[in-house]
Amino acid sequence: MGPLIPQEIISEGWNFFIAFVIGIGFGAVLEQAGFTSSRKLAGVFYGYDTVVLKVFFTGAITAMLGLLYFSLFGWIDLNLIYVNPMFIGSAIVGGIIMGVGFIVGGF
Amino acid sequence: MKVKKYMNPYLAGVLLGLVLLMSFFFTGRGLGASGAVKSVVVASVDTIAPKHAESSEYYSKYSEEGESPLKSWLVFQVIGVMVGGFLSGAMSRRLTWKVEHSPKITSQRRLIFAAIGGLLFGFGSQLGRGCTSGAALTGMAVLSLSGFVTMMAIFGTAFAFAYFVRKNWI
Repeated sequence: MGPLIPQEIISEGWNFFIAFVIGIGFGAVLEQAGFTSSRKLAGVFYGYDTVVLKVFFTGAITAMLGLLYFSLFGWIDLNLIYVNPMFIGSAIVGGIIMGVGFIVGGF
Repeated sequence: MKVKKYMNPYLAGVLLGLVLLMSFFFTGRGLGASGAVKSVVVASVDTIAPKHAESSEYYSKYSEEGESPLKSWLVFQVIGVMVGGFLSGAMSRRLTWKVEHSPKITSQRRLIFAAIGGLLFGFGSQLGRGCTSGAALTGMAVLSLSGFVTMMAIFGTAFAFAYFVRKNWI
C-alpha cells in the first residue's frame, strides 16, 4: 500500500500540500514540547532540562517501531523509503561541527 | 489568560514519531529542515550570480532542470513548520518577543553566539547530509547507520563543548 505518493496511489500534485500539512504537525508538536525555547534545548547539556532527549528519542523509537509494524502488516514497502546513504567521515565531521553549533547557538 | 504549560515530553515524543511515520507513509521520506535552507541559498545564488551557480559543482546539481530550487518538498514542509509552530504558540498563549539567555550575559552576546552557532550548523549539516531533524531523527527512524553516527557526533560534541559556553546558559 504505502508509501502512497511514490506508488502514485495519491497523485504527485498533492505532494507539496501534504508536505505543508505534515510540516504544520511537526511545528506544532515541537512547539508544544517546548522546543521553541533555546534555554530549554541547551538545558540538556547541563542537566537542568532533559526534554530534548525525552522527546527526541521517544519520537525516533515511535517512528522506528511504527515503520516496522507497518511493514509487517504490509501497509508500507520499506524499499521505497528514502534512507540516508552513509559517508562515515563527513557524517562524523559534520556532526561535530553541528554539535558545537548546537551548544553555541542554542538550537 | 494564563500561559499553558508544555506538553508531557513523552506524549510529545509519541506524537512527533506519529508525524514522522505519517510522512513516511504518505511520501516515502522523513522530516527535515536544513534542506529547505539549502534550497533558499541555492535559489538566491542562482538569482544573484547565475554564472557562478552554473559553473559550481555544488550549486549546479540543485538548479539544473530549469525549475526553481524553491519548488521542493522540504521548502513546503518548513513553511508548514513555521505555520504550525506559530498556531500552536498562539493557542497556548506563548507568543511573545524575547531573547532567551542566562541572566549573566546580554542579549547582544546571545545573538552574536546564535549567529555563530547558525553558521556552524549550516556548514556541518551539509557535511553530515542533514541536520538534527533530517539526519539524526529521520535517520534513526529508518535505522540508517548514518543517522546514529550523526546523532552521536552532534550530542557527544555538544556535551563535550558545553562546559566552555556555560556562561551563556546557566
